[in-house]
Amino acid sequence: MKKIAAILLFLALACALIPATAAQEIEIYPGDAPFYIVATLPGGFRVESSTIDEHFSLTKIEHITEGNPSVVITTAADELYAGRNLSDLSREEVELIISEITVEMNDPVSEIGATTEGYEYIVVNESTQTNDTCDTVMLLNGYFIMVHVFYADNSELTDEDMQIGPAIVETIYIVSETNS
Amino acid sequence: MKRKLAFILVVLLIVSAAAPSMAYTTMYVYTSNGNPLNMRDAPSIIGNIMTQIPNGAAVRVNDAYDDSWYSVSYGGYTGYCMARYLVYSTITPTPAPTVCPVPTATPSGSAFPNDIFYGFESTYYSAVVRPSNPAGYVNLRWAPSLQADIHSHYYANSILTVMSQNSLWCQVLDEEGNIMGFMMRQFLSPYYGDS
Repeated sequence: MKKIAAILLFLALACALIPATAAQEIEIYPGDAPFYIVATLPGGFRVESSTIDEHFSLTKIEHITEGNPSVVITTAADELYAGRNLSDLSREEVELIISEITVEMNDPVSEIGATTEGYEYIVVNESTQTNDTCDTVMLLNGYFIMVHVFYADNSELTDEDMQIGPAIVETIYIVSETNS
Repeated sequence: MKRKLAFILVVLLIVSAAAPSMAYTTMYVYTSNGNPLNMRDAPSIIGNIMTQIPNGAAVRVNDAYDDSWYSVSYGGYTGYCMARYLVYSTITPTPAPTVCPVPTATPSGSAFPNDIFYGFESTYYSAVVRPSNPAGYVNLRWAPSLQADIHSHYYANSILTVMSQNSLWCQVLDEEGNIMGFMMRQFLSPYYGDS
């Protein structure tokens, strides 16, 4: 009887832990856009808080265990790039965006990647004594999406930490609200 | 006589109270990539484009719809433009960030230092955070220098109180978090409250 109770308790605990550690799909509403974005958080992460207004949204992500970096996903419209994706921009325009993202950085490193869906994104990171951040930036239909990864105490990001942003944007897809 | 005087005073009061809401100001288009700025029929990038305003052009700002969009008149059109591309002065090259001397002021008995940092002028106004990328963030630092340690990050539309400033930096207070630090002035715009 005790054995059965122990097995049941183990199963209950396992069931409680699985949803928290499994990858989780979230919806991000970029202000007044006629679409929303679906992204999948890596296992162990969950939404801590989310705020949205007409033009800007901010979603804070936290890990179920301590000692992991803070992750903030922000979206905002930009008139200058209305209706365009990163891959639609000229090299000069992409360089301008990188220079704007890195304007406060002393020693930034940037690279351009692409998701399997073909959406391009920029990864910018800096690791100095005063700053250690990794920003992954995407432009979708004129809306910027940024995944900002950092430690509150400015601890050094690990290689694994720096994969969080690209891993999230890799899963992003757009759902048009007019299709429903 | 007294009635007449009272009537005139009331009229003057009403006129002076109404004046700020009727006031408009001149601002200039400043797009980072030099492209023209769209004027739309609604305060949203999904609004229809009415006309395009060249970079550097002067526009009449009628009202602030909110922190992100202003009602603007230009070339016979009246519509909405994104506030982040409107500046108060004509386009001048943005000064490159330079390293400022580390302040020597030391905290007094109060929670925050009372001293004004060398070269800073005392101010007191609310400002809204405007990162260079609309989805980005701005660093709050312990001292007015890009080499100074970062305390925290502030995202678009955060409201801070500017306590003092020089040409490059603002000493700001986050009243909610009770934190004081320094932020680059180019990422702060005066905040006039929700319209």
